[in-house]
Amino acid sequence: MERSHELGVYAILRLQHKVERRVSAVNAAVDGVIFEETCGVGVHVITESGMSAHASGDCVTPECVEQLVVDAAAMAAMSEAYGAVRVSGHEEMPRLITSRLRECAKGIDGISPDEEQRLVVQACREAMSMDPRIACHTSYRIVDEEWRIVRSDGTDAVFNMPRAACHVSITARDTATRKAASVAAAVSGQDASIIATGDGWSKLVKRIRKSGHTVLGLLEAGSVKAGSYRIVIDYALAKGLAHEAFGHSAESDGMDTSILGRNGKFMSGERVASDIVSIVDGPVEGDYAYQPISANGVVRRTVDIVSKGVLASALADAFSAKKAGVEPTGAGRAESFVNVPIPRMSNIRLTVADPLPMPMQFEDVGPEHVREALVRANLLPAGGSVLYLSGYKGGQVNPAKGDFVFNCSAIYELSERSIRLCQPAIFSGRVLSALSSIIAGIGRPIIDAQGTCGKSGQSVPSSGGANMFLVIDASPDIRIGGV
Amino acid sequence: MPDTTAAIDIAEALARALAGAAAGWRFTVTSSAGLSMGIDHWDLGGAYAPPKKAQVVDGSVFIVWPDSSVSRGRVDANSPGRLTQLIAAWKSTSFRDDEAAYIAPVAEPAEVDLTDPRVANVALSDPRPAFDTLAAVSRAAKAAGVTTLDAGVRCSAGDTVTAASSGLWVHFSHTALGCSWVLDNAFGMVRPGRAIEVWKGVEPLVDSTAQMLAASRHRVSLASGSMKVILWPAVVDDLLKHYLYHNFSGEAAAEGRSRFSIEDFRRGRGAFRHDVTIELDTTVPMGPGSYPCTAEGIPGGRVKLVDGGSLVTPLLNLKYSRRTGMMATPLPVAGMSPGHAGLKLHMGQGDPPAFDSVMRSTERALLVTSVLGMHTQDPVSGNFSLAASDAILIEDGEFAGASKVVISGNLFDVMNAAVTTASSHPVFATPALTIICRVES
Repeated sequence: MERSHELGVYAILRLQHKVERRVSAVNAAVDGVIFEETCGVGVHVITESGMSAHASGDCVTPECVEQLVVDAAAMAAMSEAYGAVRVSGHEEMPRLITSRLRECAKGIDGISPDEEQRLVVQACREAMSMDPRIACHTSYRIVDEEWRIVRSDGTDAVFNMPRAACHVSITARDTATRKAASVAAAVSGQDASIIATGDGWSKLVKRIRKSGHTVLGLLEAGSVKAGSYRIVIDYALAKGLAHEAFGHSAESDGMDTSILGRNGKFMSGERVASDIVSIVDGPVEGDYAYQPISANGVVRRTVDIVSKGVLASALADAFSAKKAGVEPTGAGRAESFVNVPIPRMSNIRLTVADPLPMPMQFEDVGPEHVREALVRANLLPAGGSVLYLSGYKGGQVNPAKGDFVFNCSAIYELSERSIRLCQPAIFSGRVLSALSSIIAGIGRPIIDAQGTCGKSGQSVPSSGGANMFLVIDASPDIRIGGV
Repeated sequence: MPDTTAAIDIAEALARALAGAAAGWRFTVTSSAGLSMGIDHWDLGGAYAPPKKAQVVDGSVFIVWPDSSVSRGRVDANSPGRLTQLIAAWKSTSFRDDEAAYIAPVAEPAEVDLTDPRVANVALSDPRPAFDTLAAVSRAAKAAGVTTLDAGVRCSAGDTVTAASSGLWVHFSHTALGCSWVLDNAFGMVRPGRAIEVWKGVEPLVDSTAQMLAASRHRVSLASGSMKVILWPAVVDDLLKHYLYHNFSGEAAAEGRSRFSIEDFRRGRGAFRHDVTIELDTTVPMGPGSYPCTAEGIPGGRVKLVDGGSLVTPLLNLKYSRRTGMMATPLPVAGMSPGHAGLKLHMGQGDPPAFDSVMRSTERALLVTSVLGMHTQDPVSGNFSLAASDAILIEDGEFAGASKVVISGNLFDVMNAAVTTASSHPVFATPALTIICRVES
């Protein structure tokens, strides 16, 4: 920081230390255990004329870091001759001196590698014991990541982001018919308790068994006819919808082209859904994607993106908040010390007021229970059908066009007389149409749907959820693809 | 000037430390210096796409301990000062994997040119050509009437050491660079390579991208049903990466998680049309996916995965080579698209026709240049159901407008259909494919 002062540049220094252990097992044999520890520093400088540059390295000595400041300052100065855009907003970030280090009973040092290996292998066995046609790959990771953010204004903020996730990929293959299908089961949280406690293990096993039954059924399943339907999506798919289709559109750096922007400004006050729908993003203690402080050294706020159907606030950092016409919320996140932070989500949840009751654990809910809930609420039309999209296989959105695509693990065609399992098909459409078509929620909110958010070449942990299920009415702008 | 030879010092320190602790070992360590910068909505630099320099060391280590257990770990620039602690940490995470517990005998690495000193000069000391390239992209986009431009350039120079307790010691230098652009958040192109020529002459390519963008502004309605679809080479690359890589993974085949079994490969089962050949070549001179040897010491080279429609071999690392009793193969660089990694798909007799001539002679088809949702598809079944926001209608060889569609089918069925044909595009290693599939509009 002394060197940046001498050079007359504003500096944001980001020091990252990350320890990670990964275990994978294939068909109940340990396939890999990797331990890695990385450390590095990134320096983001802004000159008096607003030119910006970034230099980073994994040599963490005063001499190396000083050289990074010099390199970044030189590049920033050079960029002015090429007409680089001026950066502003950094001087309005509030000065912060804090330490938010979260302790976890079963963090990376709280469980033995041998115990992790045993549980990961056992997770494979649980799936394989269901049927000889099942093959299984289980991957588990536990991470402790600590950041220190220091700025020219005296800010010095330290925080950590402990997390763990276990993902079980289950494939069924029928050699006689040459048909194959795969689905997944996953749990996530802040530490190894996701698999190393009775509750955690029980949840994982229930999810494995549910997915195992689904994948076996898919070997015989037909397909659903492409078209527009009333659909039910589970909370993991709803998290995908909220995150990919809506959260990204609410990020302040993309407001020039976002469907939630008009003339570059966030359309605060605009109605985008019925008044039963709200969307919130913010860090949740104990969550997989917990991050209390932004990578710019600002306390991360919990943000009401949509409040009772009306756009309220955007996810913003100091650099683009003013341009987007919103308040900064400490939304900047970076994958590692080599990256520049960008506004993005942490834990996003979409909730519907006055949900229909579902007095069961999510893992115990079958398609017949979903159908019963719909029938009780007169949401299953007589003589018609509703498609229940189960599981989440990822999605993608174009925030500028508002187009989204999601995929599920399986589809159940629910009618009064039958429940038919069908092959997964994409759920595609327009973001605002989907949001405005939500007509009901079923069950309490569950917000542990875990993922990895990719944006601008950076991947950060994400999570979120919704009511156990959401009901989305048929709309010509929302289609089930069909294969 | 930054030093990219740290890999050699770290490799020597690692070799010394492991020699006294392990029964066998191998590692690969890369030190590199990189430069990148971007244009974000016409703005050069700024808070989110500023000029960036990064100098890092990254390496992977594999150890066979005296009790035959194995460990995997990673190293960075800070590792030499704490090798004793690291080795203890690696030992604490050791596990039994008898098929993996093996160090291959020394094999002669492939000779392949991977370095352009002009790129190294940009990465290490003179960023001006990077700024100039972005300026050229920006000028071309403005001239073409583009509304929104996002673009980026990057380059790097580095040194890699791959070594093993068998006596293998391979040191090579390499450069890499690339540029990319996206016009109006809809049409784009990525150009990776190793020589500075990748940055030359980008203007006509930006202009050709802009022509597709211009065509997409006129929206047309299509009836749903089966129709001819031309898959742009980048889309074919995405399909091959998602579906072929998974099903040709030796691990997936050996563990029952692939569409194909090891027995299918051993017997040379006919899985594709008789005129389909798929080959991986990791020794293309200056190829982005080329290398002298894999991290396990397997020499780079050429291997046929499919020959005349029949399965030949999956992609096999050492462990699954031992498991299956088949030869270990070169492997595509992780994360890289197949065309850039050296994967070549050949379909049909003789040289494929040129993409331009196929387009000109097309009476009616949809040109799909990008899709949403590839990563959500099930690679084992081969089924695809993908959205394309701006599929371009071709009528009588001309762009006739665009429509939002969902294309669906089964990749393996499509590749085997008699009507499917390939055509070559001068910018891409992977061909375009003309197929017939279901289109929902």
